[in-house]
Amino acid sequence: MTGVAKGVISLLIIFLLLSLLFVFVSEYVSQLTATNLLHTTTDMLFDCVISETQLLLARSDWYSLCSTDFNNFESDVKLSTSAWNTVFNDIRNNGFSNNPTQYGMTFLPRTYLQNNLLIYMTTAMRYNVEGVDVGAVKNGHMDINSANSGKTNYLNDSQVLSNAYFEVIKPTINITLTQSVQGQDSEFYRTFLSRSQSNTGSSIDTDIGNDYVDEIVVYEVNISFDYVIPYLNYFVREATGTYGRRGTYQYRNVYFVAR
Amino acid sequence: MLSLGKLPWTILKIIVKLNLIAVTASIVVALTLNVFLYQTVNSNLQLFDKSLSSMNYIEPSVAKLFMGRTNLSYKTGENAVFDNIVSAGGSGFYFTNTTDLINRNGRNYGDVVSYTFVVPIDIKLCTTFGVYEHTVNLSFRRAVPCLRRFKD
Repeated sequence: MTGVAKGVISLLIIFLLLSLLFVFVSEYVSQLTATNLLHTTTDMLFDCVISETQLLLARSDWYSLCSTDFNNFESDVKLSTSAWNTVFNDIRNNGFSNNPTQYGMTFLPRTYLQNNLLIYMTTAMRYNVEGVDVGAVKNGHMDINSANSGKTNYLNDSQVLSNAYFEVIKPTINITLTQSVQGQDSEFYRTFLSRSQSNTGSSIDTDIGNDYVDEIVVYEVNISFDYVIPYLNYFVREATGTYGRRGTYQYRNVYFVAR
Repeated sequence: MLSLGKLPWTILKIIVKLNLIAVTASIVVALTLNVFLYQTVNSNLQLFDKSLSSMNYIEPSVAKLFMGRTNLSYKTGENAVFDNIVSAGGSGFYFTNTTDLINRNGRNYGDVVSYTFVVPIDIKLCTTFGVYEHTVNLSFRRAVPCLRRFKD
């Protein structure tokens, strides 16, 4: 009898351990998948920002939409180089009726992007997998179960943008652009663009064709936001006392403009 | 009459234990394989999705690179880009729900393409009585937004 009882208890312990293992492995896989989706979505957001900017600067009303950013860009670049000055002068002399892309010039309008980043993020977050509402993004929590309201990092619904895998805290979505002018002898130019070891004779692809370029304007783009990846298992939520894993995501990429 | 004593009982216990070990090992291998494949395919699909998000429709070079197949039949001047992306043989995996994926027209900023990628895997259950096989389809249902404007 004692042997049978021992056997039953052993089986129960093994069953419990296997169940726990299953819970934590599935939670780990879920968190890993959500983190991967977060990376890819932000990468897509960056590409979206670049293509939307290029289209914005080809519009006839471009100056009314980003006059502040253009003026800042002009004053910064004019201080550093004269290669772009003819373009700035021509655009001003024509009363801004010509757009920058007609001169083969683009730039990243920081204020405009900051104001519209939430819209682009909403579109990019439609990228998701396997969820009940595949491709859906909504204001508020993916899981609105009231049982989660007491969890430490459960947030106000109006502050959250969510898809089937992760949630972004809207007020924290931020983009910073660090702009610098780099000549042919700069480290950036040599590392990423130059096919030549000398300071002259290297050509790069620009909007106006493959050409010799004295200077380029380089943007270091940083996108950041706070996120929550909800725990898949209610057991994990109860055990940790939190709704999900919260963190700050930092994305960095480089964009350059040649003239 | 010859008495076998405890021998049959001992043999039975050994067989049961062997089966328990074999079945447990099979389940562990199957689960590990599932998790590994799930993560690997997911990672690759994300690269594919990122390309897809910037295209109006799936381009031949991307499809061939991703599927590892050169026998995809590319159709020019027709609404459907491929006629055999589902049935093109070789690697085992395939697409279903491909209407959005191969449709040449109609995508623009914000539109979402849905498709399903299926990877069949053979699950083997090992016992002392033989190996039992069952094919399980790992399905990856995706929704990819178009993030470029192709028309106004």
